[in-house]
Amino acid sequence: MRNIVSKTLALLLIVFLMLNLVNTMLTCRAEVDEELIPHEDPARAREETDILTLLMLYLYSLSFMSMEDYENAEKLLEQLKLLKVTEELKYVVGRFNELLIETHGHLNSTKKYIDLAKYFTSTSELDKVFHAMHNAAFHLLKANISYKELEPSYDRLISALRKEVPEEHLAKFYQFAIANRIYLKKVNELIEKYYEELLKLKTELSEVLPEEIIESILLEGIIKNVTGEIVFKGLYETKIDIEAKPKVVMIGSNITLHGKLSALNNEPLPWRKVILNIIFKRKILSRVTLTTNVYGIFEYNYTVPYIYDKDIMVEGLLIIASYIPEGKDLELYRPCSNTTTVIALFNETVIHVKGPSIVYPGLKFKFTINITPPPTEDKPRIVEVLIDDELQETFEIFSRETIYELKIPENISVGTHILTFKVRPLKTLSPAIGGYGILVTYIPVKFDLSVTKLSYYPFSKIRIWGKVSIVNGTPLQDEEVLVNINGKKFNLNTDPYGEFSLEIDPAFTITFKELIINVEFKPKEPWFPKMLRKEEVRIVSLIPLIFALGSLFFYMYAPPKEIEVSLSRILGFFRRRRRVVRKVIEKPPTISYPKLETETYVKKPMVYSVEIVPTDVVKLYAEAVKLISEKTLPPKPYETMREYWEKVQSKIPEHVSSAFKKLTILAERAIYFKPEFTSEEQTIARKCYEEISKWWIS
Amino acid sequence: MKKIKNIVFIGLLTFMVIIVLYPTVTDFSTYNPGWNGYLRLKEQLNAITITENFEKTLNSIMNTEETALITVAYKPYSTSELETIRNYLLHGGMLILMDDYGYGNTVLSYLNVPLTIAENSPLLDPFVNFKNKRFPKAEIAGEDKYIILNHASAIIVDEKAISENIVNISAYSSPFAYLDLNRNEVWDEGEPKGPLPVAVSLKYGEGTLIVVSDPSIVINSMLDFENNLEFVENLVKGKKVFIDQTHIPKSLHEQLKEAAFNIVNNYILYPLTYIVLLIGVVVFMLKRTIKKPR
Repeated sequence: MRNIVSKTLALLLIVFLMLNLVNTMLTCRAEVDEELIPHEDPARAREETDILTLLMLYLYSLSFMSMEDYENAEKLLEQLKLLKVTEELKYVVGRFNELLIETHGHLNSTKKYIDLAKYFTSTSELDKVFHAMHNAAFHLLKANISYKELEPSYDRLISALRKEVPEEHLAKFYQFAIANRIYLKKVNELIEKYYEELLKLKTELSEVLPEEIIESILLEGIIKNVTGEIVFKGLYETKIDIEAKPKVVMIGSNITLHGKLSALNNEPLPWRKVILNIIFKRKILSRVTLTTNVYGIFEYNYTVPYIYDKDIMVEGLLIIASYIPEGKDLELYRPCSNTTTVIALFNETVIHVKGPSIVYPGLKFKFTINITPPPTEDKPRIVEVLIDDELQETFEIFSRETIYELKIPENISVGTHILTFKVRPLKTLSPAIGGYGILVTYIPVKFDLSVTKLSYYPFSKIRIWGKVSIVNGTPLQDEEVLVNINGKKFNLNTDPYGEFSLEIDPAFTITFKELIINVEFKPKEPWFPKMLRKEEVRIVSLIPLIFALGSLFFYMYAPPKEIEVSLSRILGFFRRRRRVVRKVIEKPPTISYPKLETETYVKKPMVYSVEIVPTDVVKLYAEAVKLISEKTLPPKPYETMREYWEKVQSKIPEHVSSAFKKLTILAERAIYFKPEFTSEEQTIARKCYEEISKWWIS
Repeated sequence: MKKIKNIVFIGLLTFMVIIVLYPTVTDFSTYNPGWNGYLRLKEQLNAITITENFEKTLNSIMNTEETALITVAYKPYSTSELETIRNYLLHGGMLILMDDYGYGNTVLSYLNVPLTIAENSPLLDPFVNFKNKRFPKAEIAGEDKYIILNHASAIIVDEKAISENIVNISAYSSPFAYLDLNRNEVWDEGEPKGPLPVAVSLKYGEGTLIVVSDPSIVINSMLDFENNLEFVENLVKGKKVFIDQTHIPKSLHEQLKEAAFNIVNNYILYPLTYIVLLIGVVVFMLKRTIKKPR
């Protein structure tokens, strides 16, 4: 019964182990098969934010916003709220969305109020114009505030999203990121545009209002003052003429401004103070107070500043001459104002830059710069190179086309950057800006790694092999590779073929173990990326299998009887040793026969686990058994020495039986107690054998 | 010799234990209790599995109008099999064809129905989904209930068929879902946008053809999601369900397991074979008993 239980247990152990092995193999296979049938375990599926869709929605909504299509932009922004965002990204995406929606809302309102203001201007409903402008300015200021936060928030957003984007979608990601940045700039341009429109509206108003009112309704003043009531007093109307010579000049040139202040009946008003404001784009460039001469005439020489704004060539400088009565004139004359414009011209510089759009940190790249009008040896142009508004280098250009080599900073962050070439202005030659977005990335490196997936302890080894090369196949030699196996680190260097390898013994395990192997490529040069690969190794211990198989084969080879005997013998051996120490003689255990020649007569000689050291007495006993066996019966395997004597006792003569009994007792002592026989005892044993021998011969 | 016999016996026993007791990992297998199996579906619908002789089994079904056959089309169908399916439908059977990227279109084109499964184009929904866009949520038509799909596709239905009420849409994706034709995981200009049908039905002869563009909605791990189980249960309500297992790719383990079960079902449990085997064993034992005294 015990044998069956033991066999079953051994068998179950093997089955269990085999199942484990098969399970491992089948699991691996199932994962491979996933490619065939595309579905995944929902329990193991990762919560993901669809980053590309998110960026695409930003792109579309920003593009609609930049086109002032706020309705469609709003629809997309509504969709943004529905897009699932993981916990890690929730804050950064949520904050950006909030700012974007806020900016959108304020820009939308600004546009509405500007349109209203324009409408009311056309209908000359000034109160309503003021009110609309007031609201427009308020929303524009708000939009500007939220935009100022939106821009840095976008950088944070992109850096947070970047971590979540898989390598295969990186190109698309950067494409969207750059496009979004461009559209964000356009939103800023929109804010500027609305600002200009508001100022333009104010200028239109200024034509019907005196100077102090114009001043009071500069953008920042709108909110406070625009709704205030304006009341003018005075008996006589006045008029002021203003003229500029020449009307069209190059920037940096002088102009003469002269005019006349008179009452409506053309009577000149001498020695009166006239305020002259020279304005460009609602900014006062110069403000002077002049005094009319005896003929009511005033004159002023002004040098046109170097302003390289195209509007100066179209709109020109606005010159406003105004008279505000003071002193005794206060109740007598009414204030008046008049304007004229001077168109200023400059030569526009155009710069074209050509170069790579993908660059690598620490490496030099060539950019072709083309400047029109072409610089000369006498009149070189100074060019500033900026990356993300940070000055990198300044150099001079002496000809139309120049090839310039720029070293990309080693510590530059990977991602999109704006590379700008700024041409400094030179007198009437305007400044120019050229540039484009560059993608700073690493030189694509191929990092092949092969790690033993399944290792059998203690026989197989874990082999890590890898190759580092540039995508074109050029191997990267002498680069450092760091292997980290569960905290144990190995530093390796790549050989001339870019290869590295490591062979280690699997960690000790009694059953099953999983090892995490991190292999990191640490490049020396900044233009190669750091790369990290993570692999899992399963170590299956064969120790339980060996034990199980060992015990199974042991049971298979040894019949149950012998196993029991062997166990008893082993136990007996310990007991015997104890007895020898104490010198206590006990009844010998009833165990099987020693290894004798008589085995040849036994039906099936078996394996004996207790080794017998033959002595003379044992040899004599064995011979005696051989003789008796021939005449009577051979001993059975399960019979003890005494049992055999008892069995043959009746079949042999009494004196022979007595001799055989003595010999049996001596042999028992020889086998189990190993005493040192005295010569007397050995003589007795020999005599006993001779007695049996004589009987056998007779 | 006896030792070798022992080894062979133990080896075979171990092998059989592994085959029979160890669950398979084959996708859509009714023996698979793992996440990707159909074991729970089989239990929930109390379905009968067709593991061999597809045509013979389908032809032997009596009262076809009271039965429904669920087939996952991941292996090609032979012409005779397609003809059997057609006959089954013509005679009133209900065929639920579940396929996303397999051979479903072979069946549809043989049946000459105005439906196509958008093979090789995953249905992605970045907005209305479970966990990520590859698990789109689809609405059951006419009910405020949803099913969750797992790496699904969509069904392209001929517009004329919808306008003429030939095809009924049973479930459709959200308006935000799209078919990613170029598999770049982003919606591009020209890619079909939702709502897209994911389950449709139409009358075919006396029977009903139901096409579901995702066989994974009823795998063990997806059955409890939203109304996935209810959706399938409603489709086959009051019908005896057969699950076709002959058109899914199987591992060697699965095949051996099926073979073992088929042997048991077809031969050992067959009374005559059983009696003959029993007589054989008894005769053999008697022979040994008679020989022993000698």
